[in-house]
Amino acid sequence: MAEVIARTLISGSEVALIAVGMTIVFGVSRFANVAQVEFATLGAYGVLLAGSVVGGGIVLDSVLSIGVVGALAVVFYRLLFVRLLKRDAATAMIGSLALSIVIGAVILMLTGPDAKTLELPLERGRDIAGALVTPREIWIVVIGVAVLAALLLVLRFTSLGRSIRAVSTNRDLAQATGIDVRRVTDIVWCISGCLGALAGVLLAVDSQISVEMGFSLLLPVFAAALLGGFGSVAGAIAAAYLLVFIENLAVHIDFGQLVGSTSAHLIPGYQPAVGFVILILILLVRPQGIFGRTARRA
Amino acid sequence: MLDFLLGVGVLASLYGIVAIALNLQAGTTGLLNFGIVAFFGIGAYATGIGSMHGLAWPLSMLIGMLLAALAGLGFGRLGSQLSDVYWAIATLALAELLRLVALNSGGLTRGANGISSAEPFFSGLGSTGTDLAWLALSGAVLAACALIAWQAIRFQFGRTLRMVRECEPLAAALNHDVTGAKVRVLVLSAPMAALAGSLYAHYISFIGPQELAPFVTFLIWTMVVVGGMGSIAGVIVGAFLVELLYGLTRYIHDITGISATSSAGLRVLVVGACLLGFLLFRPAGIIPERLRRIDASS
Repeated sequence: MAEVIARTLISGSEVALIAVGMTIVFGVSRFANVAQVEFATLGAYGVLLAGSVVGGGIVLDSVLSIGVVGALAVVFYRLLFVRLLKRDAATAMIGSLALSIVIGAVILMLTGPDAKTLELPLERGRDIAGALVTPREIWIVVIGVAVLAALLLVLRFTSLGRSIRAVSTNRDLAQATGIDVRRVTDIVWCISGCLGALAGVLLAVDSQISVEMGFSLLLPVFAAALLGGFGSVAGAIAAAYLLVFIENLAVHIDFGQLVGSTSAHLIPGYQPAVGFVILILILLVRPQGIFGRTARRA
Repeated sequence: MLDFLLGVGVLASLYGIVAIALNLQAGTTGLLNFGIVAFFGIGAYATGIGSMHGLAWPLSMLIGMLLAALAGLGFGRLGSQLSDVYWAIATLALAELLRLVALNSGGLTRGANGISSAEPFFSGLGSTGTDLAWLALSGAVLAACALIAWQAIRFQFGRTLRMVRECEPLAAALNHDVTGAKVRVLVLSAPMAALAGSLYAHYISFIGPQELAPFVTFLIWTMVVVGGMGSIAGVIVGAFLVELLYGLTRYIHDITGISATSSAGLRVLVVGACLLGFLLFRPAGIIPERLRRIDASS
């Protein structure tokens, strides 16, 4: 059980960061950005690139990478999504699928299909209440939770946060009250790029870097954003941890023992499927999510 | 050269059938199906699994089409509950779920190894003869599906579907059965995609999880968008153009001498750039949908 909780805190933080990025962009731009998960891939490869070009140590490289991906997100928004959104949200969503495939293709072209790892020193795991965790994994959780908490505080208590919430609630009204809607939207896209890239960096530190690392998280991220209710940051965070917890639990539980027969575990290959099934169940039962308001069609 | 063109022709016809199915859903009805590959995969795997157990191929083909129609029914019921963006996410999740099942149920699908026992057609005709016969077969099926699609949306049913696309609340307000229309269009189009998948399994003599990757969905979407959403003739043109382009890019590797992995990335990039370019600069496609004008003033 301690192992399950440890894994939940680690991968939950990563999923939560991307899901929050997706949900705030949905708030201001009103479409589900499939390419959101590619910000994580870009962030991870960015660290790799910064490591070979700048070589300022993992922290500096990460900050550089996150900053560049944040800027890139704004560029994508301005050059691509503004135009697509002029037609409708559906076009923007198709475009985001295309963008995510293109990003994957470019990375594949430049670096090849082999998974890569950051060159970090090996660490000895420590036993914390029965779970084996490395100091690095503790850092991942601390950074993830700190950033998510900071984001919640910014949204709640600063004037920028108020503007973002206003634009998400009613774009036209926000504009009419003198909020610079374009600037707020740019900032939100930048934040979502940074959050995605941070998740990618954490993933890279945690395991390895591959072209599919982002796309493989698409469904858990969608599920978290949906369960949280698209547009709700706190909801997305809570949902991300909950989903990852259930996913981990599902592969750890011995179903055979529960019904009193021989040991029977879920095949680990099906772990992502748990998220999909939950996603589809949520869509059927409560499409507006736990914290959201409307999603059913009128 | 001839063999290359014949191969492109057969694949373009087979994918063209799927594109017609997607066009009925997305182009005519406005249903954003990001999991169209699921129907294709159901047909292909029905044929593959049937051949493993010595079932006659027409029977497997039929079973595949029936299962796809059932899946279409399920997708359609789901569509009655959800707004378009949420439905798009659900279809993507369902398709990925199917791919995971194909990858992990070794006993049923031979997992990642795939199934290569589907009976090859026209094997006594020599290489070019086989391809010619295949082109004739797939072309005929494509033409039949195009005819069925055209007949289906020519009259009242097509007008209902387009009204659902343009303004769903209006269609509901005018007492059209919106859910019923969506279910019917899915049940009509899903077996087409399954038939294409089944033929594909016979043509390639192989079906594996890779054939269910989101990339296939993306390729079909590109065909539909390039050809023209809602236009059957356009979608067929789009299928041939995109498949030709995708086929030709295979030779970039031979001509320029860049590495195989780079060229694999480049091939995907070309298709992605194509989709993005059309979405941005010619969203109506090469042959835009033509709607009969109704003179409302008289």
